Amino acid sequence: MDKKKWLVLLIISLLLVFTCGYVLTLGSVEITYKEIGNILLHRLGLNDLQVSRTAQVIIEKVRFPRIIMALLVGSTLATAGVGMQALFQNPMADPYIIGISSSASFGAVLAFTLQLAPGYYGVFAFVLSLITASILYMFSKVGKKSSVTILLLMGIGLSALYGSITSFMIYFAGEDSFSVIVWLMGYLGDATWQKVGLASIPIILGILVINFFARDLNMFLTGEEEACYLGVNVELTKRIILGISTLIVSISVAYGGIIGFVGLVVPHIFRLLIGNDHRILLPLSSIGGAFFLLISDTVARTIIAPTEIPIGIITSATGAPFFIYLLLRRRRVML
Amino acid sequence: MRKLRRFGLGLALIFTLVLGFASGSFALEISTDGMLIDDLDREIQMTNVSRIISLEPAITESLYFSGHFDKLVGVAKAAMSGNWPAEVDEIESVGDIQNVNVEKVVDLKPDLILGSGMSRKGLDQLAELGYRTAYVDPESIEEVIDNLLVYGAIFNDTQQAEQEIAKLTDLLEEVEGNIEVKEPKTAIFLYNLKPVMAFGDGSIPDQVLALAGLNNVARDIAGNNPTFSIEKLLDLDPDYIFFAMRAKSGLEEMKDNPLWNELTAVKEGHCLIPPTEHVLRPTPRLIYGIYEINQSIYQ
Repeated sequence: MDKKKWLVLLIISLLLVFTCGYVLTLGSVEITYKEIGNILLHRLGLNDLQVSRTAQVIIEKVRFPRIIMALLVGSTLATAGVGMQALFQNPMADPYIIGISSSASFGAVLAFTLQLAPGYYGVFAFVLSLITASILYMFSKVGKKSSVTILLLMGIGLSALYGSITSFMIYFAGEDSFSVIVWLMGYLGDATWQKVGLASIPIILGILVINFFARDLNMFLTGEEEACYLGVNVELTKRIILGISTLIVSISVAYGGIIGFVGLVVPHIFRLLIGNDHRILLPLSSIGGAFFLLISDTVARTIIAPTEIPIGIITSATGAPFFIYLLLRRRRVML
Repeated sequence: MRKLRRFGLGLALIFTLVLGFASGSFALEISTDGMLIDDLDREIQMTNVSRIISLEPAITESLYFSGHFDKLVGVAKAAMSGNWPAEVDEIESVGDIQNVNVEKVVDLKPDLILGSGMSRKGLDQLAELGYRTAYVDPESIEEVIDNLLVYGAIFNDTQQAEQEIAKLTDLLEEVEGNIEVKEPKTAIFLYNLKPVMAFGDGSIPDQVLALAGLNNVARDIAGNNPTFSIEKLLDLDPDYIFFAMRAKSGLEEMKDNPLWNELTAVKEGHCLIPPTEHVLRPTPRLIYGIYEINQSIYQ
């Protein structure tokens, strides 16, 4: 592996840290670096608090957890995207591919129909995604092996079924169905430290494990059979990547709704830039996804502050033109 | 980033302007030659009107207040909020506001169909079938009350409408008298929590708050009914928080996000969940809602 690629990784990571610091100052309420510094030093017990209580709460309990949540969700989606694309050997695969987006929507709308508080949308979405993924996986087994084709097709079938029930419920939800619809468009604004705490451990571990399988995923690119000849335990790898991706993507859905585009396009952008070696593609996508979602969320909450825009709109609106530009420039060296 | 933000602000401004022009503001009235002019400035012939269908609970209620409830042969009902008065149940249903059953309407042979924002689709469909339809979408509480006289005029009998208006005016005067002697409080009216959305400048709930003597802190946020960050809510920190529609679960939701406990209104228990139809639905019942809010806060 050449050193240049690791240098790129290091630079992006550093850039990410500085960006986090910068976006901490942005928002509908103006808070300066000096005030943030004061709040941090106060937390460390080094000086007295000189800022207002509101500023302290906003930095410590609103912006900080939200930024961390954006990083976690972005990283999850991009990493799972890389994994799914390699596993399915299909550039169209995204982290929501095996029925997660439709089962998550179904879960959220079900919670909404049952008149539960919005806090339950995420819980229902999470549980239903996991149930769906388990069903799909169980039924995609042909003999001892699981068939990727059957998995995908079953996913499409179940999605259509869920979709019809979801549409039915929204149609009869009456006047305030917008409430669940805006939630489904993606929302990171209610992140708290408690949620970050719950989400971070499985997500970070999951991303690390997927990164650990980079070499195996490289061999998958040549086809399942060839990977097997090259010494990869195909069944186990498939099971682990699928299981972990589904778990962490479901967690991200529970806390952020369905945020399109990140998992599909961030990996492709890096593929176009640095090629298909998963040993560098995976870590770059993990960090790049976090970066991309952090920027998108910042734009979503500041561009017409104090009004917010659903984050899904921003991810597509900013990512798509860049992606198309890259594609047009590099179409000759595609996959 | 600053450039981006300026661009965004420009965009928001253009939107506001376009929307402002597009919605226009025409009030319901009866012209000198006896035509009904609706809120889209269309003229509708008013001869021989005896069978009415209302596609909007607000219109149904207003007809009740104007004393012409008996002319209703069909109503569309609200799916989520309550329907009033109880006699509504005795009238034939033509579906709910958003999903009007056209065949049912045709079957009832109405002379006039009244509808509004959410039932617009059904109303337009019926207009194409050749029915006399009127779009009634009052933008202010004043218009809501004036409309009682228009309904009366359609049937050449404004007596009950006048009596009701006198009663409502008395209530409003009492409220006003109550406000004058008190220090004004601030409030916000949320209708969604994830994300946080509030009723903004000019909306009916905004007018309800104003008439009840409260300053709506969401007025300065761009957009009619803006979505905004919870940090802005912490910054605005109103004395009172009202919850409606899906935000009704607000009190439960607070347990999910302890941030809410930083708000003055939550700390002091100043969270109110008024009945939807007293604060959202453009009917004379708003005045009773205003009266109750005013009483509970300034008494």
